[in-house]
Amino acid sequence: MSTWLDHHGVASDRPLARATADRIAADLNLPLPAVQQISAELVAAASAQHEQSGAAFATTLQQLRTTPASVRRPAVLSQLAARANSSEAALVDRLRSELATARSQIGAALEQTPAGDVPGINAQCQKWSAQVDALLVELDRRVATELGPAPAGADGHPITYLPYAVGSFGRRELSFYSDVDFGILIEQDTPAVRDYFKRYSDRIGQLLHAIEGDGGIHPCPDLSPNGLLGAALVDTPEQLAQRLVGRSDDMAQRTLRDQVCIQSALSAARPLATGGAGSALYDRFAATAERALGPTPPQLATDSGRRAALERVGMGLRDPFGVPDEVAHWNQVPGDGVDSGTAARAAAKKFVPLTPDQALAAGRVNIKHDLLRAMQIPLQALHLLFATRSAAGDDVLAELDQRGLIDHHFADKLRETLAACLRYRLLNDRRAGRSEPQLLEVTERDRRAIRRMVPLLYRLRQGMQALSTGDPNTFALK
Amino acid sequence: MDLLQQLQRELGARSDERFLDAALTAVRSSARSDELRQVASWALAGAMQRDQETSYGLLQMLAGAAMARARLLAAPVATAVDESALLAALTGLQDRLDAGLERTRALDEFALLGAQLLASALPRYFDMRLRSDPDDTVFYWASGVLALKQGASAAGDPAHLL
Repeated sequence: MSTWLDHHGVASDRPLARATADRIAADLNLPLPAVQQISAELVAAASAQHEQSGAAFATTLQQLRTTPASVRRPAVLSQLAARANSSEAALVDRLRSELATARSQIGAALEQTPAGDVPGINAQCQKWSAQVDALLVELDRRVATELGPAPAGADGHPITYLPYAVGSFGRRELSFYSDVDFGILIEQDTPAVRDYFKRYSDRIGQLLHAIEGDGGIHPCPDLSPNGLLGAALVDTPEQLAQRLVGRSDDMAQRTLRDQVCIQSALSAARPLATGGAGSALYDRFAATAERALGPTPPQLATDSGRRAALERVGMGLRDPFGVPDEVAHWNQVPGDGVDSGTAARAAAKKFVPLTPDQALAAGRVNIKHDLLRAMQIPLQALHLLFATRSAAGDDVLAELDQRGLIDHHFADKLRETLAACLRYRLLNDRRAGRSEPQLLEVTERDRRAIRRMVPLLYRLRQGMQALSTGDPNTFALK
Repeated sequence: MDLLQQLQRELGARSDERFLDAALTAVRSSARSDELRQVASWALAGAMQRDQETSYGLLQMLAGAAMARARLLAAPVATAVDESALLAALTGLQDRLDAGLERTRALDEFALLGAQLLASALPRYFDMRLRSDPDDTVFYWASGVLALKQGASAAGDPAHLL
């Protein structure tokens, strides 16, 4: 039998939409204009390829069925208007527009930020983080409404859950193209809960993709192999704590950098929405983690403290471990809002090498200041190198390889050795009485690794000089 | 003033890396095998006196570079070298150093390997494939040769003129 739905073009392979529309026609006896409006909305929902909108709409209609007939029509039209405003297409458009505006404003502010002004850069990172916070909270609400309550736990009530941020997102240090490390804390872990949050994750991913396309905000690929939130990011508080603790236990010899990173990740994990039952989950996580790893050092209790500690272990905005990952992302071609060329140039200026004093201060443990002095140019080159690697990808790597400047083997050694150098710096900090979280002794292996780096850094400098004199544009950031 | 005196005067007067820049340029310019051997011996001795300093590695590099070029000037070497064979030979030399082979003698033995490294086409970071434990001596020597080669390449010198 042909229904009005067919005449109004609602896709016939959308059974839920069809059923909903049929109920509208049968139950409400609406006049044609209202039906047309409903039809148009269902078409939009169907074209957005999610049935859940139909389900949510059916709930609204169920409520309307209990409404007296005299007020039914205006109520329906009012609901339709409200619904139109909050439809997925409108939501996507609105969020996309808000993000573009924020990008434009933050990008412009970044352009005005003087080179080396780390607090200034951080301020912009915080603004962008807040924008992404708001985005995810809104998407969470949307998806939760679509999917309905989470599965029931042992007590028969829907379990509580809490989206949380971690990593640089947790520290509110996002740049435009940073991985957005977020996950879900769940009250109980059951197959039904896993299934629910698989659908939840897919839906969040769909919406992010609709808003941002292939670029822009994306969940951390390391933690979510499919590019969307995966099962691995859905944990009970105990599972999450164990995951972070496990990372540290896996290391035969945990380095200071590892330690600070873990502590910082723990203390930077923060709920995306405060209050409500979900907060108890965060408290459970924090308590479990603290039992396993000991209390969070006071230095890591605040965002600024965490940032300072991470800077010291090479994860800050001025370090090859941190700068390229964060700042290089500013160099990628954004979808809109920022002139990528100008942003790239501005970002390039923000690489701040160690000052001679910093280098000298860093070199007093058996690694002589000459080494750090010798490393000045290489460190700058490395900043550029790592940034270029992050920003432009395989083509630049291939060029470096072709020119004999680097290969993967070299890069791995470089990271390892620089980590050892940073440990020296940290140990020196402790000896100088500067406050620092727990520190490890420097090993003979560290000393060898650093000494071993001298010839390689020397040759890297040679290569960079050769390139810069031969073709000054070779390393222009793309 | 001969090359050795020149280097002796410049060591300490410049930063280590600048010193090595100048030293490698001088090594590249020298055509006297005996003079280069003198430089290699002096650099090795200097390195051993500075084994806790950055200059240790840079002097070892100079020793390896000077000795390799000295050997290349003295007699032709094969330019087609198997990378694995060369790695094995360098590793073997390091093993013997670890087992007590005297350093100056080891440097003599390194001369041929270094000359082959200098004259043949190998990955620029070939030395990264050398193991690092428990001692780095051969690694530094090989790195010095590669630095000599890298600098020559940047200066546009054909490899056979090294």
